Amino acid sequence: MELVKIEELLEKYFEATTTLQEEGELREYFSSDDVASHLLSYKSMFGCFTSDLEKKISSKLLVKSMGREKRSGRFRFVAVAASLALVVSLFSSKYIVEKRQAGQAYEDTQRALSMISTELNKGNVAMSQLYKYEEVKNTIFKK
Amino acid sequence: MKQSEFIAKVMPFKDKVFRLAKRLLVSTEEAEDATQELYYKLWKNKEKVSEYKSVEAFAMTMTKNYCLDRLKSKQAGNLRLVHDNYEENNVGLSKRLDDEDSVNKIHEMIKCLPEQQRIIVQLRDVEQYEFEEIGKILNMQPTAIRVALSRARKTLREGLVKFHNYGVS
Repeated sequence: MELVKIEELLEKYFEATTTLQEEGELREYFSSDDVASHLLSYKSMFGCFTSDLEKKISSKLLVKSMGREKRSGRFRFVAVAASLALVVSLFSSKYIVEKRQAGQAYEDTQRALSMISTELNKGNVAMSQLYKYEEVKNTIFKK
Repeated sequence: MKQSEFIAKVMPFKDKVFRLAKRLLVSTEEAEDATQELYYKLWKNKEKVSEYKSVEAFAMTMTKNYCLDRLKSKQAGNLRLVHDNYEENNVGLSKRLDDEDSVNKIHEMIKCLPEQQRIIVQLRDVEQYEFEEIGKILNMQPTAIRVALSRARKTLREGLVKFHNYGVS
């Protein structure tokens, strides 16, 4: 390509008025081996832009990142279910224990009450014998 | 949207996203993280993604915003200077030794540009987007982009001229 045209394009390039196509021409010119000596300092710049375009991310990383998202969603569900189960079981076991304790207390009181009533009955029998003594005493001392 | 459909839609521009992130964050690891983060976000919003006319422009905007946020956060402050792992595997070895200096120099100079100019240089000179597309991505008028781009290119030219005259700058 003519040197004059390249210089013209370069001038436009630095004013940022070149089209993509013209910039492509410049890139092509500077990637060739016969660059005019006074323009050589620009060669590395365009070369740098072209070589930067080769940089790529390893696709493994991205697949991993999407897999990560999916897995973490499932784990989250499991975690929620597990913690829910834990809370429910804690509450229900507490309830069961309380119920059992209440039953025990009820039995204990019942036993205690029945004991009291039997002891009182014994006392009543003894008392009725005392009344008998009173009756006998009365019949004797009236006469 | 199914996973396969989603992949077909968003995978073609994964390298562009990565390169833009790398241009801004410099470190390869950071850029990979940013790309993953972006795809994770896209995947989460996959229902919305199908509504957008240009998913690519949308993704590039998101990448830009994400990277600028990262740069603002303290974490990235030291990463910016520490990780400087450029790899130019694709240029022939003998050529590489000659060019390595000036290629590094150019990367260095681009790094010194203001963030917005860096983004524009990346989108135009490397990815070869049209001005309208860049306007969509950056939400800017094409004329403003031209001005910024011209400024950036002239800064690079100045640096190059200095570098080649004195060998240092």
